[in-house]
Amino acid sequence: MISRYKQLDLDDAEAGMILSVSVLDHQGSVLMQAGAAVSEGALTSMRRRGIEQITVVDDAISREELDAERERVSARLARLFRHPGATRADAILHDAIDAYRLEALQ
Amino acid sequence: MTRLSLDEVMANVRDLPTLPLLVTELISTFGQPDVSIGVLAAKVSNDQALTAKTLRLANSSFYGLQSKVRTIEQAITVLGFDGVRALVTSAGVMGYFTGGRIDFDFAAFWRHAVGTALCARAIARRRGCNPELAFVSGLLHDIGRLVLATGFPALYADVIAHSRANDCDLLDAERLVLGIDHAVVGRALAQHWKFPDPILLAIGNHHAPTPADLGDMPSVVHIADAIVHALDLGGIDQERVPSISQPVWDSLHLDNAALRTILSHTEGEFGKACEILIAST
Repeated sequence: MISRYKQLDLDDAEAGMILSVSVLDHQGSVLMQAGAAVSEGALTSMRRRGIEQITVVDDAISREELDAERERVSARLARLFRHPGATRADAILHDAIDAYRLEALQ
Repeated sequence: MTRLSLDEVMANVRDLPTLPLLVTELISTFGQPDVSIGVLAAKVSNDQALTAKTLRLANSSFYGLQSKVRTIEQAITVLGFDGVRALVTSAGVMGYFTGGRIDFDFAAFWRHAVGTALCARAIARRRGCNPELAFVSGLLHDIGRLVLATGFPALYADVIAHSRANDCDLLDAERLVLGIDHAVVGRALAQHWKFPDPILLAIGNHHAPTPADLGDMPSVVHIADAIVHALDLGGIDQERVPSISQPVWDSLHLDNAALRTILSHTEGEFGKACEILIAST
């Protein structure tokens, strides 16, 4: 599965990278929000808090690759949600996963 | 069609080696706030394999600790008693059912279980339920499937074949082929092992939570199970998402923002958790 989300060891992260997933502490509280750019200070602070990995936006994927992956993801989701007698909740979850997957392919 | 009775299944379970004493003791203390930390630490520290796995988990990225923990006492100080108890219990039960020579995809089973554990914990945090109890409940929700697959391998191969041939849920295939399903068997095993009620109910009712389960652990696991199938974390081509109960969904009040957080944290923690938990089962 390709994605514009890239999981990195904190040691390989650089200032200026954009977080694609919020960073949490061990109690689940948000330290840095998704969408924020990582600064040198933030890297130091996360290192001090024992964060080992972060997920950032990957810029190295082509438009064509992203388009093809979007089609593959939609087809796969339709197959995963193929059960008969779907409920409204099934549709909500389907839409939420669809939005979540497509977000990683913008 | 074969009709397995619960008695036959449980007779088989009683012939299995018992769970490590430490694990049964820990399980029985869920929900008891006044357990001595020193006693727990000493007991866990005596089991080197469990200690190593617990410390690796505690130090892994999904706990984001400020400094490395090197002893069980330190892990309890940082993760809390509940956290360490959940990790040790998980590591202990996962090491119990071994692969052997039967034709059952244990790796896929545990990948789904670990995903459900992480997702149930993420939901529980939003709901104000005990996150560590949710983790263990999620991890063990399908444990009845392992009892059936290891105790009756040939019959369970028929269940899997039926489910594939008819593209139906394993639960329906179990009922049709065996006359019994993994939720009933899992609940009986949970009783046999004296699991506390929240875990027992989550295992027994995760496919069809009762009105009394709404908003509670069986509901958390029902939704976590569906989310993990929908995230496609099991790595199985014929994966399908089980239908979600509308009242159960409504009872958890998950809005889009909450759902988005749950999805990203489940997926973000999944690789590391599998690497540590499944590596030596």
